[in-house]
Amino acid sequence: MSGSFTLTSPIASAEWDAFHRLDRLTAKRPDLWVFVCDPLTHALPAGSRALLEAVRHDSEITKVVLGEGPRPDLGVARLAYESAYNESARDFLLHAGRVFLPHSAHAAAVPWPIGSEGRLVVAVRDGLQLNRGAVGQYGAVDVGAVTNVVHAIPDQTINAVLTASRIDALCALATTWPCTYNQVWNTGLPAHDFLFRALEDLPDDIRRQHDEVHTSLAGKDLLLLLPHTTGPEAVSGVFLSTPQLASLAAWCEGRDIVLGLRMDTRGARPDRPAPQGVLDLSPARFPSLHAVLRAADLVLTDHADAALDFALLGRPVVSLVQHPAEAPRDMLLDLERLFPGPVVRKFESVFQALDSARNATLHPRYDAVRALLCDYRDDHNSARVVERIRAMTKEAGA
Amino acid sequence: MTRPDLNEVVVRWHRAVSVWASLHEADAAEARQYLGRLLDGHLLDAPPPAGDLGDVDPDLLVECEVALVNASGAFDEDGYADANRHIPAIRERQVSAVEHFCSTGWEWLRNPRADFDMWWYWFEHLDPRRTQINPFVHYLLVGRHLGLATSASRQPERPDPPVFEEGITRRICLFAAYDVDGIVDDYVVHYLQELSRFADVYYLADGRMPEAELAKIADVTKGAWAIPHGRYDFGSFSTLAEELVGWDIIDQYDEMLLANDSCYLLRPLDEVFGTMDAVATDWWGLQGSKADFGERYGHHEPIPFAAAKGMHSERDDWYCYFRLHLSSYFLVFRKRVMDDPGFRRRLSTVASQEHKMLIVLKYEIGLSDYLLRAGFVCDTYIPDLYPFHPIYSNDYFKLLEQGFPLLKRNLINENSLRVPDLAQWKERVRPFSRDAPLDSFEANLRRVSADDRLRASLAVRTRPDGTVDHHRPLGRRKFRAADRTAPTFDHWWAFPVCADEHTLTGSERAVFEEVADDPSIKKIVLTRSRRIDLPGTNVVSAPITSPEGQHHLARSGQVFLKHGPLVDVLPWNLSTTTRNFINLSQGTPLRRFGRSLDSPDAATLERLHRNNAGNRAAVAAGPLDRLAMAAALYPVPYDAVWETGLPRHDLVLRPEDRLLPDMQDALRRLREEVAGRRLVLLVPGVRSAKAPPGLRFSDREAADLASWARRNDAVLGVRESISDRGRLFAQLLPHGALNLGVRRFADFEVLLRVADIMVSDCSPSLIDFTLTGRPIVSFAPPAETDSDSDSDDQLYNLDRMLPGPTCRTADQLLDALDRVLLPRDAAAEEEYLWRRSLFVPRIDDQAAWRVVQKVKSLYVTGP
Repeated sequence: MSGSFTLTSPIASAEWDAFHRLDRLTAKRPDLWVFVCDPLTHALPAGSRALLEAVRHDSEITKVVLGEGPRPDLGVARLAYESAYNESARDFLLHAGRVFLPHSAHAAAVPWPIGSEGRLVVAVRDGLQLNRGAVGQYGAVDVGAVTNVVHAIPDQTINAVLTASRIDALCALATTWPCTYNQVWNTGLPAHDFLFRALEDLPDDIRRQHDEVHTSLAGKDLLLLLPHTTGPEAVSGVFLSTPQLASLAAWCEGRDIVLGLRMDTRGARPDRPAPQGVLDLSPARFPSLHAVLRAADLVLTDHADAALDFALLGRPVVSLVQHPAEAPRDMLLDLERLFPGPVVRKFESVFQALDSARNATLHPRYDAVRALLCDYRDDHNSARVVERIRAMTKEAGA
Repeated sequence: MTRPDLNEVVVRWHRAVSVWASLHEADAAEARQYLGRLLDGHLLDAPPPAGDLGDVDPDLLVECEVALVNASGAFDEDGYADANRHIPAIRERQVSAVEHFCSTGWEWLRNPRADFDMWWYWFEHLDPRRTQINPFVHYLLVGRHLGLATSASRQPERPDPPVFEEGITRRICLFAAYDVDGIVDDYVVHYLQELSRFADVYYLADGRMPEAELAKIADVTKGAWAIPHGRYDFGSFSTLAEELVGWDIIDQYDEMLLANDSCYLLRPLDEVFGTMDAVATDWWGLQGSKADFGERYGHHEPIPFAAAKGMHSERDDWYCYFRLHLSSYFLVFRKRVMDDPGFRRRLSTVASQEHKMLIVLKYEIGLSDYLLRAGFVCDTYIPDLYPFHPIYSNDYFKLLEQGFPLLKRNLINENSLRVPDLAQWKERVRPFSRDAPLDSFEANLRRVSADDRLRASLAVRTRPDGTVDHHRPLGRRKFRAADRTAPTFDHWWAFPVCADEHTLTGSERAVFEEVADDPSIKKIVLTRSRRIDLPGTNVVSAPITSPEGQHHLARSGQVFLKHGPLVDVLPWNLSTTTRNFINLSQGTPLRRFGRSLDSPDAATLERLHRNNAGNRAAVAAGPLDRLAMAAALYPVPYDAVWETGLPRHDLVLRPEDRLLPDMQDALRRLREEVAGRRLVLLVPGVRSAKAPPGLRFSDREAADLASWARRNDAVLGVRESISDRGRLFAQLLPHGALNLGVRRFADFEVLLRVADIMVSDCSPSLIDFTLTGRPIVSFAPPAETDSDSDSDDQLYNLDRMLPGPTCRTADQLLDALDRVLLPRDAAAEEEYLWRRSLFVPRIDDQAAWRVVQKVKSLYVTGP
């Protein structure tokens, strides 16, 4: 699948096979919930974090986080934290009845071939999808070559995908093949809880990040640049050329607006610092996307996924796509028709669009598009997922 | 013991099954004892239960009946197994004889023992119109305790049968007809003209017909009707005798002829009637048949019919199919039979059957069997009984020599016995026909026959060495082997017709036309029941099941499909890696289908995977459609769905003067029928498997819709479809709606181009129609889906996305039709265009071109 990336498994094939055999023989514990960090960013995805928050006080659930970075302070009592490669992690995985994988790298999140037999393996998505993005997987086998079928189905790990709407379900499936439609859980995205939850109820670290951004704005509005691509214009590292960026900064200055930039670098450090005069809101400084989105007043993007999540807050978004021929290759949705704000083709038009947006004139189809993309605008998404899992556990035990 | 009411027996039996089930779960021995008490005649001991027939799980019912029959010891297991050893499940011991009998055998009238005649018992002691209870179970529980007979004793022939030396002057003919196009064909007029010389003819067609068609036979019939009843020829005979003509009229005649339109009349009937009037008999036919008097059973020569009447084989005792009978295409009864209560009851209790064969078993063979056993004297015009089945075998030509006046259409177009050299049928029957309109017969053959079967029939020929070339296609295994070894050519493009409608229309047609004149591409049209001859360069057309079709298919590098390899190219399981199956889609889905449906059962899942996984690529109308197609066609991945647009849309958007001549002609025909009125096109949606059939408009609602059309200078047009299991819109046909079915207008796009409004139930056609910019109405009656308008079987929140109103009742539909007639303001127009663009972002007639480019790119890059 184009747009995917392949990781080389560090596990020797003998160990791989041994795990596979053991996994089939090991009874699964529905009370053992394993949350897996993103193998590239080493962070616990926001969706998994939200789910963890939802069960943090549930003493009947054993909670384990697998990750490679330093142990994060998640504020959850009796939480095990292990490297995905060590033996403890392997044992947890063998027994885990519930495993939560980051959608962006669901097939590569753990180095073990965990199966879905008797186990719920959930792809947790952190937001809506406008783009296919990069989906990592361990060396995909050319199954067609061995089975003489064009589209043979490989062994499947994921058996549930969390989605926010019917359209979102279709987007999710396009990036979680070989998942099927009946594995879609249209519960809403747990990560969206962090958009809608009262500030005081947010986890401390996310609230602190929000407050820090907020403080740095000093009462001014924040125009957040959310680039998806680093196209040919990207001398500055964004979808704007350096002069365009300067021009935008000047526009902001004249209106007492802070221009902030958040590039999703998938865990890598940005290859250049934020340009002068632009507030650095990168994940390295503010790991929580939602903390930054909540602090922003409007967003200018080319076609970043997070712009859709931001629009759920009811605030204006503007898309600038200067090279439309390039965009559709990576896009799941039709930007022209399913973007909740104006889509402009020329940089010169951006200012009028932003002015209009600031004057509270939302795009005529803003609400219609939001309604199509997300069925839930509340902070109960995690609760719905947990409720469904509990019902599943109860049914299995009955 | 007095005979209990049948309904009461059924209710008690169903209750008893439930009791047995609960006992069986707890204690098998006690359950056996319970059945023993029932077999001892205690079913009727308890007070009669209240309520209806009571629902019982069909599997449970069979399980209990198997236990009951086994416990009775009254079932001849060895005899049944021996008599039915040709059935694979029995031969291979997949089921026991009792299990087979209790699950399906009894409904197919297979006898449980040699002295128990299923249909006779059923007819005499139960309700022959209903399938309420296994007659043998009834016998075990009730019948034997009442001393009910289990079969008819054979009576000696009655003395002094009537004879008419001077000829019969008072004869009535009840004529049963069916025409797939709802017309009275010329050959029928010709036949009826001749019959009217000898009888007062009453005609009933099973189906709808315009008055103008019935007017064609007004001069040769005393009465002619067209009424859909679905009970084949015996249903028409029954309706004529019971309702349309009546026995009081029939009583005025000396002889009653039952005939149907399954035959062509080759010669005048003077000789037939002249000969048979002088024969002393109670009833007669043209010839007799006996299924086990055939070459397969060692009978190669004819025997006198008189001797045949005395024949009895063991098979007769086990299955009525083998019994001697006269065929219903031409049966004549004289007064003694006409007055017989058993005969009249048999004609008055004809019920619709799930399979045509049951009509034959119950009514055709059943009637003959009754009359023969009752001692009514029988004779045939052809004096001998020929080996089975003489009118479909080479012996037919011997019958012709003896003056047989008819030609059965099925001999030519089915040719089930593979008679060679029927390609020359006209030359072969001409010497025996007197001025018969053979060309008219041929025209009828071409119009109503399944083209692939007709071609297969006519292809059987005698080789120069005298052996017969049956022209059979390879069997599944051999064809698969051939497919593995045959080379495939990139430039051989195969177009199998739609597996449902057998047409090459829509997207497949658009792609075909895109390359029709490209000599570098060999176009192979693989047909089924319809004859398809499309113009173009380097075009081949052959039935998909013919040897020629297989040869071409095995070598085709590209195959264009509507449903998927398994459905469109038969279950041959062809290689999917040595060729490209390109799925051209059935349209923009709005409802979930295929793999996007909720957890199908294992068998369906397996079939879906096998069907879907073979599609190298599929096409989609736009980004959203691409996502939906990837979900439904799983495991076809997202990357393999091409956002080319749907080629069928080209045929809606292309300027009319650039359309194909046949489509232009169809447009003209449709506009003539519409006659300047607004056309409201009613198209049934594809029903999901769980949708209940049989939704009905009330008479008032149907009349209101017709009235709305008249008030608004509109006409309703119904596109019936085999997927419309409820036939909701078909109800409107008697109210003046136009029948725009596929036999009349093969190309759906023609209807889209002419229609002013489309009403459909969430079908892809709604989206197709928005290409015209005209209004749509989604009409999904509540029984179809959940009460929530965003029902779970939809892929999208349609109320937020469809560019037209959605409604669920007939009154809402009328209101919606009123509203969509009003002109849209600018805001509404913009909203319409935006919603349409969600599904179809690109409005042009170049989708087929884009598909062709993508396919050609596979030449170079491969998968």
